[in-house]
Amino acid sequence: MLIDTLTVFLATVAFGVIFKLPKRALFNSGLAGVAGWGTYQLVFTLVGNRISASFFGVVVLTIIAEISARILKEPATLFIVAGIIPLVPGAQAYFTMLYLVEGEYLLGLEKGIEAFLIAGAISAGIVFIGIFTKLSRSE
Amino acid sequence: MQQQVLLLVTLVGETLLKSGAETHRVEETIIRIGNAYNFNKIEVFALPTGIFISLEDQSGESLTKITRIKHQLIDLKKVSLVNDLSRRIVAKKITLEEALLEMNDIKSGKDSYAKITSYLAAGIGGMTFTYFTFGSGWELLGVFWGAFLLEMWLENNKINKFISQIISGFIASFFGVGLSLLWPSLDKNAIILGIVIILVPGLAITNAARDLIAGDSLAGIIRGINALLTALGIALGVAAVLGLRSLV
Repeated sequence: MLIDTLTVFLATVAFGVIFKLPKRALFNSGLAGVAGWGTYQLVFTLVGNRISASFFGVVVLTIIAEISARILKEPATLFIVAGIIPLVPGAQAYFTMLYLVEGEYLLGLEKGIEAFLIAGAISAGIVFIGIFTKLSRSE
Repeated sequence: MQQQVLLLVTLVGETLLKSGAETHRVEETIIRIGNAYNFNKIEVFALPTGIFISLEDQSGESLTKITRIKHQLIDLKKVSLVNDLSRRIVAKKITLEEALLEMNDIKSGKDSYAKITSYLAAGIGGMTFTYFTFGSGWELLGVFWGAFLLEMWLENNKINKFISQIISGFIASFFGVGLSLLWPSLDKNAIILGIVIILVPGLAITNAARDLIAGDSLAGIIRGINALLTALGIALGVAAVLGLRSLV
């Protein structure tokens, strides 16, 4: 559990470096990643559905990102981009491609739909919190 | 003075868009800077591929500039620096000349991370992703070196983005298939996935979603398609090698 958490933190920070985040944003970015992934795991054990787990994971991640953005006076995107990496449906997308190459079209379709829905859930999670921050701004 | 403001906001917009800021941030930053220099009406239309800026001063005269954005080079540190600069401009803590100088510095600024740090980050990023998707094993070592070398190649080539993604898929799957031929106990899928994951369009996904809620639908759609194309390019590269492998 502890090792998993550390791995996720490390993964998020590593991707933060790939996206060239400013150094002072790296730590909070890692925290947001861990919070998102932790929520994902929790919801997944409770409900057993990867799609809703991804949605709630990203919702928590985006909340942490928006809070970090206010504290550090940095754009919120900085804390979201690397944090969603542990949640992206990389494995599903990969196996979609693999099954299609092997001629297993039904299995490929199944994985493909799952990948698509998870990606949708991630975007929806970002949008969901984004709407609240837009409401609270007087523009 | 007005030409200089126009130059400043163009630089700001260009740098923000190139480095990976969302559309809403680009437009809002330019409007705030324009207001700080007493322009009456400021219209900005930003897309991921170009930016239109029109400034109208108190006498009703207007200045317009169109800038085409061709290559995106993700560097979120620049977004953060420009964000900070625009706060200071709005608070009038910096003169126009100083702002222009600083903006030029930001635009031409070099990476804040040494190259070796990005290579290592890619290696670690790929390795950790494989760890929490497939669990631990000797594959992790292969992933580390694969991702390390892929990032090295990515940072030093100047090929069209789509083509370079296809080639990346190629490289990753050659690595995975090669290693699993040498050591049959290794899972080639774990290795390939771990390597290509460093190309995942995380920024495009985030920005597409944020653009769509902010009402920048066109920009959101463009970014969404970019993310999809990236995934497709990688899949093409990997599929080509795996397809060949299943023939032999």
